[in-house]
Amino acid sequence: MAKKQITIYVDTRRCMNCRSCEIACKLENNLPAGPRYTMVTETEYTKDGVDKCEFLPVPCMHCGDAPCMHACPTGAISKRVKDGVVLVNQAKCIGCRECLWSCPFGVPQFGANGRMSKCTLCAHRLDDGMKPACAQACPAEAISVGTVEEISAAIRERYAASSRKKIAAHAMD
Amino acid sequence: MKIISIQRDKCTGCGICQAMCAVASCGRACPSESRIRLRRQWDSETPFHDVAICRHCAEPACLTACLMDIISKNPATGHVARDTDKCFGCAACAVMCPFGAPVYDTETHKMATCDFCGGDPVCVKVCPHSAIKYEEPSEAAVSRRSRQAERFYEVEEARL
Amino acid sequence: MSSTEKSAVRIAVIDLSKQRVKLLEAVWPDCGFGGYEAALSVTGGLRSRPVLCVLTGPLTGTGAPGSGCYGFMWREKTRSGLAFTEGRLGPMMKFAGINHLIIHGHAETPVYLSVEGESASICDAAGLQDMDIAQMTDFLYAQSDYGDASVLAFTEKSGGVLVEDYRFEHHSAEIRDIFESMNLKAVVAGGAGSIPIGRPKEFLKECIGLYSHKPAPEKGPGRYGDGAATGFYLSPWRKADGKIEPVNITDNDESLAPKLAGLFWDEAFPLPDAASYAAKLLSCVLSEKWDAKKLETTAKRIHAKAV
Repeated sequence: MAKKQITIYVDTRRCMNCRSCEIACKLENNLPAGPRYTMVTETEYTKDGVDKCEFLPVPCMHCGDAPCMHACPTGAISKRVKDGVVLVNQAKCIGCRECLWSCPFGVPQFGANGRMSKCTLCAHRLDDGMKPACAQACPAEAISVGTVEEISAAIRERYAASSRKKIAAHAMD
Repeated sequence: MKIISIQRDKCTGCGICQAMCAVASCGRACPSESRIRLRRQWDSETPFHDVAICRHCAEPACLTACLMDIISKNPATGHVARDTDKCFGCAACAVMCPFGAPVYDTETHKMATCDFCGGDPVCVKVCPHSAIKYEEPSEAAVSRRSRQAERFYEVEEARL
Repeated sequence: MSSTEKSAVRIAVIDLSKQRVKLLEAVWPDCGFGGYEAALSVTGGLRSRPVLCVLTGPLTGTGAPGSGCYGFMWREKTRSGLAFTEGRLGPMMKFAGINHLIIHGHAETPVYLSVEGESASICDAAGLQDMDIAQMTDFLYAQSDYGDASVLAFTEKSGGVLVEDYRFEHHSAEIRDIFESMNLKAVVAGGAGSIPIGRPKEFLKECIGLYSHKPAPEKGPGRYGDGAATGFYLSPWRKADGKIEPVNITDNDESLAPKLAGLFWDEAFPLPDAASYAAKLLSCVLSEKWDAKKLETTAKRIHAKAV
């Protein structure tokens, strides 16, 4: 894992299936019809007799120990040293799709040229101090990108804030 | 372009695909000459059984390796085909293939690879776990993301 | 089997006392069905010595649903038995070029059998004494020339249960006892041979039709069969707990006929008439006319003689 492994966090309570992230991603990366770097999934199921429909964005997790990287026979996939972003070198890619079979999230995409392309966490934007396009576009502010420590701290703070609210409300009774 | 896609976490390594492919391709039960061959991984650290099957790569290593120039990539379908007439079984394709997909057919004495059974693959029909599909890579990607979402929500039955 | 004769059957008779292996070639159907009749005639004069037969059916290994089944037949002074089991050993034996093993006698030092290259050989197992099942299986796999070999072994260190391919326990104390009494530690089989199929197109069509009958929706993920609801295929790995139970034949065994053919039909298999499907598949493989009635009569006849 890179020293400051960057990660993407989606607050699933906030996702409303608007797909702004998908569109923003496509625009940012100039993607034609076909490849979708990030995808919002719809899952319909029944739990305890209740019918549910949940929306879960499934982006590239830029895994610390990326299975796609291990699976690639030509070494076309690598992790950036400074932040662990997983990138593919299309010049080395032979389009065998082994990365797709290895990725538990089904992230690798294949365009017309048969080579793999995928979410880069908008590395070009990160380098300029900006958020990735999906995080920027999300109207519900459900997507956050940061180092593992930053995200972990943000989630704890969110929890603590909601607990403080609950305690304060209780004190008013 | 449709290709054979394998959902690895559904594969139990039963070998039916291998057995039936052999019957379909060679007319006899000879799993070692099947166009899809199982590699059972027995240790608990490898989470899946692997399979040797032609991936129909965008840039096939076998195409460059072939001494007789008989391997070609169909620009329309993207499928990698071989004109076996001139094949003399040197196995250069098998050596260069990162997946060891080409197999030596002992009856025709030529190398052979998966040709999707002419568009209706048998392995897809016989896999008891529906681990093998004949689909576009984009469909394969979508189904994997949905499966991840199902795991996340602890949905018991796979909907694939 | 590399034999072009579609009905050829190869039987290896192994005398552990004299450390000798004899190969018999027989022609279907003269040698009988599933090797039982041949085994009975060979072992007829050996009643006082322990005999263990590993027998495969005509459909074993062909890829038909359930064709992972093979059988054991054994005789000792006071008891005998006939059992069917799922497992890879049967199909691997056929791909190694041997249809049936008839093992008798007693080895002075621990031995294991290696079945490959259309023959069987007796190998020294002295070095395997202190291994547990994983080590022993690893070792035996490495000895085999064939990458996908099948190993059936038992070690005292691992509780003395017969284990096939690392994980699948055969819960038959009787079969294990015979192994032990013969000083036989393991059987390893593997080969790249082929099993001829008389009418491959029809066979394929029948199998596809049967495989599409999945009795229960798929539950996944399941490696090693712990999610598989269906049991009627080549794999021995249908049972969630990884145990293979050899099924002993009882007088009222309704599913004897398909078992004899080399098919193990799961109770959950939805077809009402397993014997007729077995007969249909047999007809495709052997290019002979078989029907359920003929199969059932044959099964009853063998059952009466064997036990």
